[in-house]
Amino acid sequence: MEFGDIGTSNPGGRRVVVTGIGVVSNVGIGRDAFTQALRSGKCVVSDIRGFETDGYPYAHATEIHDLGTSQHDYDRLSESHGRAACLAILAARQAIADAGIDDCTEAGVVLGTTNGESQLLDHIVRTWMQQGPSHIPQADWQNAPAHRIANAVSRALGLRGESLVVATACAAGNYAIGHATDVITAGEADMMICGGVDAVNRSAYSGFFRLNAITPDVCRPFDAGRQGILTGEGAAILVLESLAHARGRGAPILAEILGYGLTCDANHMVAPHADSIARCIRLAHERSGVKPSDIDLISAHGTGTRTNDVVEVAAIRQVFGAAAPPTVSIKSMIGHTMGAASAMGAIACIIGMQNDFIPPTVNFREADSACDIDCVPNHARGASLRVVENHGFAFGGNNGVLILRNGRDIAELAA
Amino acid sequence: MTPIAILDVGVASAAGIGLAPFAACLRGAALPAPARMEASLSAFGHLPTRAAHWLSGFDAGAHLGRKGVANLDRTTQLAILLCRDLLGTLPAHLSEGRESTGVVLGTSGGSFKSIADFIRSTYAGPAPHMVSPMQFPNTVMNSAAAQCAIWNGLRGLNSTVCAGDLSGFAALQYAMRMLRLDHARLLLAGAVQEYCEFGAFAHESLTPDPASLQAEGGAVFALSAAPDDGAIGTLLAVRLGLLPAGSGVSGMADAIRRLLRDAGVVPGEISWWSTASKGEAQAGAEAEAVAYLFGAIVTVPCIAGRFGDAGGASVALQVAACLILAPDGIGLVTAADAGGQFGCALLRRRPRTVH
Repeated sequence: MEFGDIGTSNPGGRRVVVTGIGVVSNVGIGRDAFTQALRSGKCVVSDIRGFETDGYPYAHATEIHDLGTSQHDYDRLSESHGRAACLAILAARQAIADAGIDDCTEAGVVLGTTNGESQLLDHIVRTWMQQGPSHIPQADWQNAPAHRIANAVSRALGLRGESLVVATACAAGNYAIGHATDVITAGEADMMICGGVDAVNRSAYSGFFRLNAITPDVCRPFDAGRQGILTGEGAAILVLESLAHARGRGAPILAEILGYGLTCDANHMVAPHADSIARCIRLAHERSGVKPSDIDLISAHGTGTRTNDVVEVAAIRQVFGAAAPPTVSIKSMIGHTMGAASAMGAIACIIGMQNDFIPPTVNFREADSACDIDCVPNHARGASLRVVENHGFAFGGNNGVLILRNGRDIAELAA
Repeated sequence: MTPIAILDVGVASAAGIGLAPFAACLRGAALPAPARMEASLSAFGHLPTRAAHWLSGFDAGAHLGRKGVANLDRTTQLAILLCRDLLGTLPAHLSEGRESTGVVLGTSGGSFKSIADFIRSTYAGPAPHMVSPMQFPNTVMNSAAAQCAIWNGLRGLNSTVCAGDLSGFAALQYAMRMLRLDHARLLLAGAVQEYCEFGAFAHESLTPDPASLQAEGGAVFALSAAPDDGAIGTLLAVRLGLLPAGSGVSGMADAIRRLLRDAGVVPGEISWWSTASKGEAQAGAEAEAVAYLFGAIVTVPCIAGRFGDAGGASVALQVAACLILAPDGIGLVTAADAGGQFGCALLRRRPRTVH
């Protein structure tokens, strides 16, 4: 077996596999629609509806406007939950169904988020300013803390396991998937529901706008004319199981989580740091038992800001040299979904491995010598993907790199 | 499972900055009187009616130097200070190796003051995007942990976890796992809560008893998977999750049984118990579960009655108090909230007479 030595860095721990995925995004609801969107390079940018936009020079985002058949469920959930919790519950239900699970009552939940119930926090502040703090309903205060999102998912699915939110900003999806993996590796659970979620909100839009980081255009990662991010939203949820548990119930094995690495820049709150990112990539490789030459694809953090893309490519070059694999940014399609972003990236990686294609970096026009990388411009590319690398970086220099392996190779190993 | 050494603890509380004033007040010294919020802390112009056990005289610049401190919120200032002082107490062989030293902070939602004031500024200014670029990073929930890394040069894993009032358990559990799986060599793990308008009005709404006062402060523990002779205690196991609806005492007892099983400890080894729950109903149910499982054991009092309700930092502060007040031997700290979360931790306090 050519890749028989991959993933052997932790022989004592239990192996962890992905058996289900759920996604609520602005380019598609559900695995099939999201797959189709990634394959066709779908990009949807629209005027913001989620908050009052008077006074901005421009206000557009990759916001979810069409929930399709999930709209009814969403409306019912939103009577008692914030938008982030609603999106997470919808995606989690999809993931459970995708994994073909009847009973998951012992499963735990680990969700990443940047802004938590941001629209609710906005609503609280507005009510306070207009009417005073005594007019804020108790339910709003109760739902404002971030952990309520994970608790809402646990309750909605009837889960008795742990229920945690990881708030490492825009890398939170990878942190959550990594931690859920650890819980299973350590033998503390057989099944975990994990991923990330965020909702479009006025605070983040204003903050990024003030930093000149919101593009007036579309999002063009790695392009010479890139002008920044589009704030997006959504939920991306994975079902993880121990390999033994998944095999025991005959579950479809979509991918294996080989490992992950975390580093902190300890340098600057908003400026990324190439050396620290390179250290994170190397750490992820080491913990996953892979070499740079094993990596067939990088799903980049790829925000489309001037700074990120140059720094990220520099870090990739530090580790991979001239032989860097194709490096794509799905943010070109779905925008920056913040705490969901790296979970969206992980799901895109899995979909690519399952369906033998690399999702494209769309909206690409002109190469930039400062971030010279094969970003698979504009059109998906057929490819056999065995091991992939998923990046997530954040404010505060919280870096997380996740390594996944094609589930088909697990099946071969089992034979 | 590998026990985790608690090498030391840093505390900020209504008693002041540091472990010594906290320990003194736990042992009976007078606590500063609760104080009303000062207008300088209020952006919205609505001062809470209740006083609070907050660090009204806290001058971050005096502790950390003036440079860069003014742009940080109180959550972050306190967290940086706790981490810095804690690192300073550790022997050099433990605190070196900054690439494998990290921070895990529990929080109910970051600095609610930074978040609320920033949102307000999108409405109060001349245009919604005319906001402070310096304040924007403070609105992200990982800001305090990240600043701890920046100020102290800690390049290992840096994480922020949320479980509301039980966030202290979340930080300890997360850190414990990360150390066991060798993601880090040394972790500074704990929780900090600032006093602010947002939190105060949330507290007044959700805790109608006017005698319930908020507290400001936090506790951060230096944790390592390697045994150490100088350790002040050992963390054996942590569990945190939602109780099955309606399970109450039996759900708590079940979780505690699992906790003991995780640590390979039998009920007869448990010699003390302590709760961090602010709710009487929750604390009562925990007491019932503990009495059922262990009979009559020493109770280390909940500090919230005297020190105030520290919200997201309450569990961390209670664990710190237990490391000072508890008898030697293995004990149990529990807490539950109104939303059905329940957490519990097993720890062994090492005999030590320093404090």
